[in-house]
Amino acid sequence: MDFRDDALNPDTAELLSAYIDDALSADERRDLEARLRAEPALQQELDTLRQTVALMRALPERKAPRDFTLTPEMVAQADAARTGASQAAPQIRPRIVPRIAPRRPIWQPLTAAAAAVLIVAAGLFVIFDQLPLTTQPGDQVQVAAVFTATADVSVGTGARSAQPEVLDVVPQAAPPETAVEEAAVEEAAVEEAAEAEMADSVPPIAEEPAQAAPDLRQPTTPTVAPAPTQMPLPSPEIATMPEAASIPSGPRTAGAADDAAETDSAAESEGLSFESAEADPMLATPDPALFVDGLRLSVRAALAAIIEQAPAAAPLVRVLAALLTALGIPLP
Amino acid sequence: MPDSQQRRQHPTMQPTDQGTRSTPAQPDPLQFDEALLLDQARQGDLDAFNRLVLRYQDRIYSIAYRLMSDPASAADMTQEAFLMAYRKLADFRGGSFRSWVSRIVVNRCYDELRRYQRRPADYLDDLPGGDSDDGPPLPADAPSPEQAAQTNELNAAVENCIRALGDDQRLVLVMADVEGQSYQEVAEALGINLGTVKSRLSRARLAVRRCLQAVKELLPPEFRLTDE
Repeated sequence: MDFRDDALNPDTAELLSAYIDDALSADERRDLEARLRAEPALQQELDTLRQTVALMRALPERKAPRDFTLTPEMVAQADAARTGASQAAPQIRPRIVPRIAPRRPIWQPLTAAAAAVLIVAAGLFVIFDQLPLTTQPGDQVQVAAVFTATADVSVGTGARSAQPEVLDVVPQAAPPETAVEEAAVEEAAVEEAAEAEMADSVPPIAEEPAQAAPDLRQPTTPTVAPAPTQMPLPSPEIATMPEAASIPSGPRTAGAADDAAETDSAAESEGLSFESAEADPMLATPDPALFVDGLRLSVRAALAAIIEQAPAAAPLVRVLAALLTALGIPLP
Repeated sequence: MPDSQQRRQHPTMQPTDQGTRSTPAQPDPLQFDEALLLDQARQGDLDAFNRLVLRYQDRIYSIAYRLMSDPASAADMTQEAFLMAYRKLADFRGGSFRSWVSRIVVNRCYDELRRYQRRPADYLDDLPGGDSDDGPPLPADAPSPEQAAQTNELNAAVENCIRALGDDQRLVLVMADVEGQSYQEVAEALGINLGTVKSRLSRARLAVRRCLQAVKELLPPEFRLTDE
């Protein structure tokens, strides 16, 4: 027996196979028979293939290894199994459905929020890097405003209905006189006083920022080195600045953005929203455009990151963007 | 003109009753009235149904064995097929009971193969000489021990080649070539179109032919071509 199917065209092999079973059309059969007459090798292929089929058709039945007769018990068991299966079906179904249903990981929005916070933090880092090295009257307000906006983005809801009320709270928490009186006090003592005051106004959050704030600004400008609360202010208007608002700026810029909710509540307690900061006349810094543009770009990048990571949150992000626009913060 | 549906008897085998051999459990054909037994079975007569089982169990087991390539699985499929046939007997609208049960066992094996996505594997115990290999059944009137031995060896080789096929090709080949079903029957049973039946069958036949190269010496002289 000579097997040479490796050289046999699959289409030709299929023709030969169907020819053996008389499954060709009249035209196909006529054409193939003409080829068979002209090509002895093809005729040989047909012969070996036909013999192979004959070998398989000649296979005898195998003897059953045992009798497969049924017993009443087998039939009853099959009926019981079928009944049980139909009763169990509702229990199985819920187990399967969740497996088929598209998975939407709950961590995805959280990851997007964390990414947004990181992006904003990075943006702020760049912004602060580019800010003038000298202290400007509006700096503290700007920084506080930045973190108010950051908190909004990180939470993702953007609906800060509490902001207007916060404005009323701040002056009570930090009377203007406090800053003026303590302006001349020695640095270490001032820090302690600030900590104590912050503990009174915003106990959980304010302590840490009050200690970390000087680390950010101290190297750049000696006048900023003291805690912002006690920083000598060039004008009486600045002395009315709520001290709580300026304190948290340092540590948050340094990357304390992992607790967005706390940041949010802190921003509220600190009493400054972006809206209030922008309305404040003290925002008239020498070059506010650089800062504001950088902030807007950061927020925009954060929103884009949220949409990319969690498309389902896109409507929410748009609401946030609309809210920011309504607050007078149009995004680029 | 091709010998399309003509079944050849193995050259070394004596013709038997459609390739089947008698078994002690098989009832006397003269007393076997399939239609009557079916009527009785439909009325719940399990003994009547069991006479049908004994009549066709070799045939059904052979199909299952060649599809499953595993004696234990084949026995399970055979038992399930008869059980299913008994419980679905009301759906049987006449015709050949054997063909009907054959379709049931094919479908059951098909489902099982799909379920486990079994791959062609060598079942060492089933190979010639293996523990569970009882070999092809001896013809009722074997002409000679030498011929019987040669036939058994050749049949075992052919079965091994069939067993080595992939599931899809083996299903089509067993149904068409071993069971002698038409393309249309195979297509309906497996839920595939006729073109797929043709192509799978062609590839399966070529694969078996190639596989048999290893046992050329077993092939009958009239199967050998002049180039040897």
